[in-house]
Amino acid sequence: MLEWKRSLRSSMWQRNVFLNIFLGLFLVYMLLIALMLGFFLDRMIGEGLEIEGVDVIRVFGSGMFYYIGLDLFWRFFIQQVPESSARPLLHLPVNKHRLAGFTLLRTLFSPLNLLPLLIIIPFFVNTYADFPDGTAWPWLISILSVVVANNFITFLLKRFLADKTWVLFVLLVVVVALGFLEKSGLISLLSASGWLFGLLLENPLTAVVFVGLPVVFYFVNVNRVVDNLYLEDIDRRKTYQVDAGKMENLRRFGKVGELILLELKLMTRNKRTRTVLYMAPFLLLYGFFFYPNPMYNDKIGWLLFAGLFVTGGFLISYGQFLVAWESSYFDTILTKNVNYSQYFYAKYLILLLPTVAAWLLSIPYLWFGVHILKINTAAFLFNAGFNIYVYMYFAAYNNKRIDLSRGAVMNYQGVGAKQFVVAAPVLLLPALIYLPFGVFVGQDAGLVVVGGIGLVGLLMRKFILRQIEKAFVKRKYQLAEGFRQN
Amino acid sequence: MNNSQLTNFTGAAFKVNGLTKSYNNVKVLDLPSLEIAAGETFGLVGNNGAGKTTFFRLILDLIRTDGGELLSFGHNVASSERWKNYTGSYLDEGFVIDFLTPEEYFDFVAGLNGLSKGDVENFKARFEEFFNGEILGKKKYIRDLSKGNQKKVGIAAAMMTDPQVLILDEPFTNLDPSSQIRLKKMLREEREKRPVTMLISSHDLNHVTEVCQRIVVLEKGHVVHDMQTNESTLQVLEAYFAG
Repeated sequence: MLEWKRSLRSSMWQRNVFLNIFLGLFLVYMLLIALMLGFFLDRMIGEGLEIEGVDVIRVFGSGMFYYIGLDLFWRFFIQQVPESSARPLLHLPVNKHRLAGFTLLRTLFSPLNLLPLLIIIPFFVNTYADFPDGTAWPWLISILSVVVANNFITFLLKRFLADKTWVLFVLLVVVVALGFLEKSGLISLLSASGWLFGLLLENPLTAVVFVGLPVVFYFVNVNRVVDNLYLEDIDRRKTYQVDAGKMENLRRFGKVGELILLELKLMTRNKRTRTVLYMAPFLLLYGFFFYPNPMYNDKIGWLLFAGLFVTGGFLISYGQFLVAWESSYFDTILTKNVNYSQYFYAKYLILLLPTVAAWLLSIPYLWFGVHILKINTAAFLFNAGFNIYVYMYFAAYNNKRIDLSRGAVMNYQGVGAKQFVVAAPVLLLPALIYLPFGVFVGQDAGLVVVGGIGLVGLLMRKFILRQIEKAFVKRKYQLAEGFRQN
Repeated sequence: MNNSQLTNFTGAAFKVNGLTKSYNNVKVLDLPSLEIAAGETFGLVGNNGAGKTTFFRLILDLIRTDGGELLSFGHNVASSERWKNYTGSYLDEGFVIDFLTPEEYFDFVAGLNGLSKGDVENFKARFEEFFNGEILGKKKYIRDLSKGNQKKVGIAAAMMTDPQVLILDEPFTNLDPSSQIRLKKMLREEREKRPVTMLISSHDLNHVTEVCQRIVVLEKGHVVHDMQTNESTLQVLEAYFAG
C-alpha cells in the first residue's frame, strides 16, 4: 500500500507536463529499442558472423562479461540505494531484517531490470529450438540470475566507491586497456565469457552456481543494510577534505577572484555539480562517434554540431543552470555586497576557461584530418563568443530550485521546457549559418563566417555582459522567489 | 560610500510611504507610513503571517513592492544598490553558503567588503565567546553544523562589517540559552559602541523588549501597536498576544 502511494505521489508527476511527456517518450523509445534488439539479436549475430544454431547462443554468452560491466556501470549512476527508502519506516514496529529484505526486493521492480528482460526473453524464444536438450531453461534462469545479481552488486559498489572520484578515471583506463588486450589477443574477455557461459550448454547443472550468485549477494546486502539502518548512516554526511589548498590564491584577484573561488568550491563540493563536472570531459570523446565515420566526412553541418559538443561540453552542461546552481543561497548573493558586473564577469570566466581547455584538448582530433581542426576551431569560437552569452542570458530565466546534494544522472530537477528551447537552436544555428556560405562560396568561407561571429562576440564582451546584467537585475525577483520554493 | 557619509545624514534611516505587498490578491503588508530613526533599535513582533519577514525582504529588495516606496537613508532600495554597502542582514539559511566552512564564508564576506586579514582576525576574536568553540577550526562545512550554529555563522557574518544597519529575523530562535543571552549582550554593546540602526523581529517578547528601544506589533500586515519600550511594554505585549 505504502509502495503504491510512494510511486503515485512521487514528485516525478509534479514536474511539468512537457518534461514528463519527453521523458515518457524517451523511456518508450528505449524499451522499444531493447525489444527490437531482443527480437533480432539472434539473426544479427547469426548473419553477421555467418553462424547458426547453438553457436549463436555461445556468441551471446561470450558477450556476457561486457554486458555485466556495462550494466554495472550505468546502474552505478542511476540506481538508488535501498536505505533511503527505508528512512520513514525506521520507527515502525517492523523487524529490521524484514525491513531490509523488503527494501532490497523492492529494488527489483525497476525499469533497469525490465530493460534486460526485453532483450533476453525474445532472444531466448527465438533460439529455444537450438539449445541442446534440457539446457534451455537452466540457461535462461542463469542469465536472469546474473541480472538480479548485478542489481544487488550495484549497492555494494555504491557503498564502497561512491564519492571516490578516481574510480571513474581508473575505469576509463581499464576499459581502454581491456580493449587493447582484446584486440591484441593477449587476454580475451570474450573467450573467457564464452567459455563460462558455454559450460551451461554442456552441463545444465552448472546453473546452480549462477542461481547462487544473486542469493549470496542478496544476503550480503541484507546484512549490510541492517547494519546501516541508523539515521546517522542514512543521512551519512562525509566530511570531505575541507582545505581548498592552492585554490585560495584566487583571492588575490580581488572580488572577481573571490567569486570564482566560490564557484569552484560550489562545483567540487556538491554532488550534483560534481557529476556534471565528471561528465563534461566525456563529451570530448563525442567526436569519435562522428569523425571515423565516412558517412559524415563531407557533412560539415553535422561535424559542426559534433564540434559544439566537443568544445562546449562543460558550457552546455553547466551553463544552463548557471544561476540556478546558487539557488540555495541566492539571497546571500542579492543582499551581500556583490557587484553584478563582477558577478557576471566571474561567471563568464567560469564558462570560458573550460571551453578554451576543451578546444586545446580537441586538437589531437587533427589525426582525422585538417578539416576537423578547422571545424572544431570554428565551433569553439562560436561557443566562446556566442553560445556562452546565450546560456548566461537564459540562465536568468531558469528559476527552478536545484538541490545540490543529489546526483545529476537522470536528475531532471530544475529542467524545464526552456532548456530544450535554448539547447536546440544554439546547437543547430552554426550549421544553418554555415550552409549558405559553405554551399555557394566554399567550405572555408562557411567556417570563417561561423568562427567570425564568435570572434565578434568575444570582442564585444563588455557590452554584451552589461546587457545580460540588465536582464538579470530585472529578473532577480522572479529568480529569488522561484529559488525559495522547495 | 562609507559610514561617515551616513552619519552626516539627517533624515530617518528608513522611511516607508504607502508600502503594500499582496500574494494572490491577499494583502500581506500595508504600511501607509513608517519611519525608523537612525540609531534606533527597532523591534518587530507579531504572530506567523503578520508580515514581519515580508517587511524585511522588502527592505532588502528581495521581493518587489506592489505599491509605495521604501527609502534607506534617503535612497529607494529598489532603484539604488548603495544600501548593500552599509546593511548587514540575516533572515534565514539562504543567507549562508552551506558548502563553505565558517572561516571560508567569513573570508568571502570580508573579500566582498574589502576587509583585511587583520579585520577578519579581530572579528573572530570579538565573536569568540558567541561562537563558544563550536564554529571555528572545526574543519566542517556549514551544512554539517547544527541549526543553531548555522544561525550563529549567519548572524556573525551580518555583523562582521560593522554595518550601519543590521537586520535580523528571529535571531534568538534555535540558539541555546547561553547563546541567546550572549547575543542580547552583543547587540546592546554594539549599540553603545557606535551608531547603528537595528531591525530585529522575534517571537520571544522578553528578548525583544530587553534589546529594542521601540517595538512595533504587526497583525495581518498592519501596524497595531507602536511604542517606545518602558517597564510596562512587556505587559502590554503579553496582554495583546493573550487576547
